[in-house]
Amino acid sequence: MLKVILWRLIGAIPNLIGVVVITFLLTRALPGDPAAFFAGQAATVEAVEQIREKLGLNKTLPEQFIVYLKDLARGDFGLSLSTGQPVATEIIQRLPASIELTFAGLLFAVAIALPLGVLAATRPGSWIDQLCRIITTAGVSLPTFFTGLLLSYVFYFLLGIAPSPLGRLDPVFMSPRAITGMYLIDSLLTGEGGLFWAAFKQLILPAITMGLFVLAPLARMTRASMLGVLSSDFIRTARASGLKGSTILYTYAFRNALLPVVTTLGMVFSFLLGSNVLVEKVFAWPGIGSYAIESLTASDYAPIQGFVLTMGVLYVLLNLLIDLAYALIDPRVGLEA
Amino acid sequence: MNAPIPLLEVRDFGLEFRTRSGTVHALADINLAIHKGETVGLVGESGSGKSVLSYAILGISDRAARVTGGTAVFGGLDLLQARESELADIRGREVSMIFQNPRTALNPIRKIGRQIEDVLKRHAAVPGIALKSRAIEALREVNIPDPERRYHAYPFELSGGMCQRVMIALALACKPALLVADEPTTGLDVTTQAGIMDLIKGLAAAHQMATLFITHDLGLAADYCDRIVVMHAGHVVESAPVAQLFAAPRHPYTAQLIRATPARDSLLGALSSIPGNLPDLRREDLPPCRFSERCLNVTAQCCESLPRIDADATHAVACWHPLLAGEAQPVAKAQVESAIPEAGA
Repeated sequence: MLKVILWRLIGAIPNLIGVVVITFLLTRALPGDPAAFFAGQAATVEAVEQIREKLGLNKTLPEQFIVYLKDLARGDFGLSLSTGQPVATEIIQRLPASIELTFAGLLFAVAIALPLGVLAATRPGSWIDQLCRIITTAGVSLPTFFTGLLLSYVFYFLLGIAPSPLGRLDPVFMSPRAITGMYLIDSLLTGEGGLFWAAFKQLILPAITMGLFVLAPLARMTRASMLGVLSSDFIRTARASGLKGSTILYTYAFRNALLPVVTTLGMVFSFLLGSNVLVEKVFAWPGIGSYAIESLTASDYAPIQGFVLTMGVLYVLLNLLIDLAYALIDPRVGLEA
Repeated sequence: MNAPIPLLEVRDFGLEFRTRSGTVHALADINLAIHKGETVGLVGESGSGKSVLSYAILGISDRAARVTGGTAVFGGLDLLQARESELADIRGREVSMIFQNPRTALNPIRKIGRQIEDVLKRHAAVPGIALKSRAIEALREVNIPDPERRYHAYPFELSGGMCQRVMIALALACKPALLVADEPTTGLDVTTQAGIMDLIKGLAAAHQMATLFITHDLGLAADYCDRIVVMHAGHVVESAPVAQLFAAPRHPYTAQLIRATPARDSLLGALSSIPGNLPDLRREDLPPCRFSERCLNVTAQCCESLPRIDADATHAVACWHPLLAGEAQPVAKAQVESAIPEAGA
């Protein structure tokens, strides 16, 4: 098992090399001159040149790339020009916020989509099937930033139930001692119930915004997959053996139906990583998505490189996880392949 | 009549499917009796309603199926009126079923031993620790070599014939009184087919179990059954002990079916095909005798009513003009061809 995981990780190295090359080229191709940007409006030509030299931007592209690789090998993602902080430190600080949000969104989507899909498949044509259809259609046709704004408007501005959609915690609270960096987990570990509740309330709206977006494909896939499995021969055998409805539904049908759902889960997770950027902006969530946007508008190339690389690594790990889950559910999937 | 009460007795049973393209009159006027320990072959062309009938008896019909009338009494309980929970208690314990395509009939991602345990756990009062040994015992009974190791196998690791043995072990785990075998050897090669059929026959004899053997292969049914029930287009047309059916078929359809079945010494040229096709069961103007449009002996009476088939008779036939003994000689080919346009009219 461990050997398999190791092989998979080694197999991902070419992908990561590709990610490194492409992000390097793309950030260099960005419009705008970082040196001019940081020198400011009033800077002289000499000052701009000085900054350019200091940043190494006067070298040729291959030279710059080699310098970049050398730094990467030492775990140095470069300095952010706008904050002056090392990119690696900032990403490590902000990553837990994004992960917490992404997983909360995913959890919300799974908790709604799977039961909805199963119920819709077992009662085709019923009101719950119609509900499933409406939700899946609405889910894909509403853009994330719009649902985010709509939810804030309704639940914060109109109804006043939700806390102000600004960041991870109401300013009256101190953030918990950083253990994992995820507020929900940290506050539980340190036993601060009030803090947990506050962090939870802040998380609800952005998590739902994220979740709504991926709920549709998940529910649709669960429904289709369940429908297919329920009409298969081995379900007929299970019924002919008089097995209980619940045994047939969960032990026989659902486990088999899970296979394509897990594949979809992997796909929507990558959507989620992408939509982080928008949702974090709307809810002023201090994750790596908003970090990337701020850097992008400031022509700050080092954080963008760091951001894309982090996403690439996350994506590779995620695919590994999906493959492992697949092998765990289906004995026919050999891990050696 | 002092015949013993049959194990399963189907009377005047009818069933239809409501589909988008109309109502399919799948089964009508079905009369059928199976006695304890008896092997009954249910024979007919594809689409004649054999499987539909067996699913209906077990109460696992498609959602679109509607029972239009009749009874199916098994052990004093009318299966057609029974609640789903009552049926579920009977299925797998009193009446079991095996299917064609054994590979897809087993849960692909569950160990076969666990699948047998699921059935045992549901029906038999077996304590948890004994489940595994009972499951292994069930596998041993169907002659699966090394059952302790096979217990942990998944269906994809076994051959088709092995999977069918597992299916039989699963179906017989609770020692049912009736086994419905729906084309159990279709898709298996001929040597495996004989092995599976001998196994079913042997186990049925050992456990005094009745078998309803569904097949389109009249020859196979002749080898393994005590009695054969012939179906055509959702009707039971004839029911007789094997020897009697082959020696003196009384329904014209049965006679043609026998002529179309290859025997050990028959030449290809001597085999005849049955003219015409099954009538479209969605038609609203189905004739009372659904064979009348393919029949050479059709008269006006056949288009008015159908004689009721008597399930208790030794040799029952649903025909106004049953063939007499010795009458069922081959029809000349020219005669058959000249009859086709007439039948289609």
